[in-house]
Amino acid sequence: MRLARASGCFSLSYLAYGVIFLFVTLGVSAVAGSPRTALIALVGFWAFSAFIMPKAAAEISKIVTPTAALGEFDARLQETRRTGFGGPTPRERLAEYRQSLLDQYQVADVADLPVYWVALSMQRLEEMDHEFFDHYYKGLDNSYLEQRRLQDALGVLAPTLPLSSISMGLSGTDLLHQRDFVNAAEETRRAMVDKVNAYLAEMAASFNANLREGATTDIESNDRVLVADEAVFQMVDPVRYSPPTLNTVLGEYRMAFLVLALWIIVALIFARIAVGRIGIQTR
Amino acid sequence: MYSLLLKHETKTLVRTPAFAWILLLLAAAVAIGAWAGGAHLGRIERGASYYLADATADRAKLRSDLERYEERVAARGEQVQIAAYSHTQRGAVPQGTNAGSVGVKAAEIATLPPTGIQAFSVGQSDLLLSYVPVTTAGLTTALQASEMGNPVNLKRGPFDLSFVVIFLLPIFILAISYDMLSSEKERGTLAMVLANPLSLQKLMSSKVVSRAVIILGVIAALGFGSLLTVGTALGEPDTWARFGVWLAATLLYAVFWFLLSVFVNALGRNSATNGIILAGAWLAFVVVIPTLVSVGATTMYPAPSRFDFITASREAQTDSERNYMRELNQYYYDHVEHVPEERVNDFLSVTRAKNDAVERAVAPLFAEFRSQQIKQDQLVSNFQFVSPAIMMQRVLNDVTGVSAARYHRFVDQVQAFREQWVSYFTVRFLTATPMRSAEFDEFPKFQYEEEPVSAVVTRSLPSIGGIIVILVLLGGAAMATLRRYQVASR
Repeated sequence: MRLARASGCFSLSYLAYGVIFLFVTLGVSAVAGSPRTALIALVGFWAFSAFIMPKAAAEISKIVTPTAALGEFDARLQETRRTGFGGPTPRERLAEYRQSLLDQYQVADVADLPVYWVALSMQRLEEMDHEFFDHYYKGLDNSYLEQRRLQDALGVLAPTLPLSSISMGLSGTDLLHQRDFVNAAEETRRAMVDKVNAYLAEMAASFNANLREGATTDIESNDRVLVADEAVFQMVDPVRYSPPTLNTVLGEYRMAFLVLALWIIVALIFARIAVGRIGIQTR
Repeated sequence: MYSLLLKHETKTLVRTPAFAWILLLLAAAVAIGAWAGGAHLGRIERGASYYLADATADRAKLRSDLERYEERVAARGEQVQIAAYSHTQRGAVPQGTNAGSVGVKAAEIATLPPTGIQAFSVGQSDLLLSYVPVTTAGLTTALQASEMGNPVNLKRGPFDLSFVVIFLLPIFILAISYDMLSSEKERGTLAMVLANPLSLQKLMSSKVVSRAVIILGVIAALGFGSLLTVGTALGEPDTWARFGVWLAATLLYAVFWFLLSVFVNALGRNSATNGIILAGAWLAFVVVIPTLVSVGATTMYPAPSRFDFITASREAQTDSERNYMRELNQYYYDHVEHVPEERVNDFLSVTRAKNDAVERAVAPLFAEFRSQQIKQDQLVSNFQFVSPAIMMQRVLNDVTGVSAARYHRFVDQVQAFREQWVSYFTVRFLTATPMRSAEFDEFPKFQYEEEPVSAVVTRSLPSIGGIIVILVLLGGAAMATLRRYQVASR
């Protein structure tokens, strides 16, 4: 059903695109003084719409919503991971958490905790990282979406722009689908890490002894080994992914549909007026 | 008579409002292209500067910690110890004492510097990373990283000067030349003009020369203006040599479209037909043929996907986790001349051993990736002569410094440098030699060794030569066809 509806919307969009070019061709042929002028104007319109405007729109969207290069993005993210968003740094927050655990279990050293400190600290660091990564990557996703939405709006100058967005969206090859999938994968990963760390925190408490001053960390001579059984692997749920619904896709591309509809109306009016003028001249 | 005709044609042309608009649009397109290319380059350079600043700060921190420690130790008259590797600083001995730690933490940023006219062309620099952190950890991840960009924008491509030259310039040229003779014929003035002591060849020549001189002059001026505004290293002869090749190729490419227009005009069809033929030729040469050649190359020689790399890395990682002792033995075997008396199975040695195992596992994939890319490039090179646009693209990529060849050269140098880096730190690490703060000035430094511009020119010669051969053939065909031109309609 979804496929049929998506295919219908897909076909209608391309049909609309064809109709726009039909009416524009009709109108230009009627208005132009000679077939030569009409031809040049139409080839120019096509080249503008198909080649010039998509690139120009991309450049404009980059000016309006700039995004950082990898080096800058990565450096800012790493800096935030070191210093946080103001307030206590992640390291300070981890120290506070450590102290709260020591207080809770009434011990002086993490080596004496009845829960595995490394697993708990990894989980806490993970959770802090979620804040930072979400801030940067969701911000980046939003910038990309804003760039594309602006390009859709610039489609008032070239119908190819909204059509290409709609085409990618309905085919599921756009950023919306990709980000949705990546976010779902990330949620699965986070849930898995959460479960594994919780398991480790409980089951590997004896590993705390490694944290004692002077304890050996030599892998060969270290006899503290935790063997994961089948049950451990079963605590991670199988991944089930559902792509965004068609309504979500249509909602995301409403501007593109609107612009395409606007083009049909304007092209129709233009063709009608232009053809009407021929009638007056021939009488 | 000819010079009079030339003057008349030029005056008529200059007074035509449409021609002024076309020149204005061309100037606007070049300005946008130069600005967009400059903005892209600025973004990349900013990205690289952040990496450099981070790496410099990390190294300075390691060094200052080490200096303080050295002073403390000297004051107490003690021996310098080596810290066990740790992600964060632990204990009194700083990480800077451990060559293994320093090799990982004090990255050297290998940077591919832009050429003087790199702002003229984005090429694949919007995807291929031109700054790579080199550490003793594997290069696989660093080399697989790509520059960040909106996939929608990547799909649409940049509005750079290469786009203006390859895509738009022909449209402007065809718009002012598609009806050079046909319009005269349609207005009935052609026979009248030729009633004077003047050959059709000279008339055509005056029309095309007047147009070409103006357009080529404007392109040269705009190109020069672009160089002064977004070009870099203007004091370097390399920049001017590259600009010279860029300009020569661009002018030859422009002449191709003028000659094509002359040839089509010489066929004696009406203006509308000329327009359709030339628009079709533009579509075929600029859009369809390059796309087909590119699709053919990537279909015939598919390169391993990112997924293949990830799978191979993961499998090697899992395997090395299971058999870490085997990998450790291999690691010690690889560095047999520096094996310590007491082999230690510490975290860093095992990690290095596992990293090396992963690098070894993905090396064949890298080799295949490169080999397929070279085959793709060879195929495009062989088929470039079917479209001047492909030849032009190759020349522009090469001369502006965004060609695959230059990037491969950069990657090769980065890989060679990494071996130097690994060797420097591994010897100290395995022989348990404490790092000293003074040694921080002696770390290997990456400096991209640019190929001489003559090598770029040599590589561009087949493409430029191809365009010249086409020009000669097309010019000859146009002259021959013009001789058979029917001035009066039958």
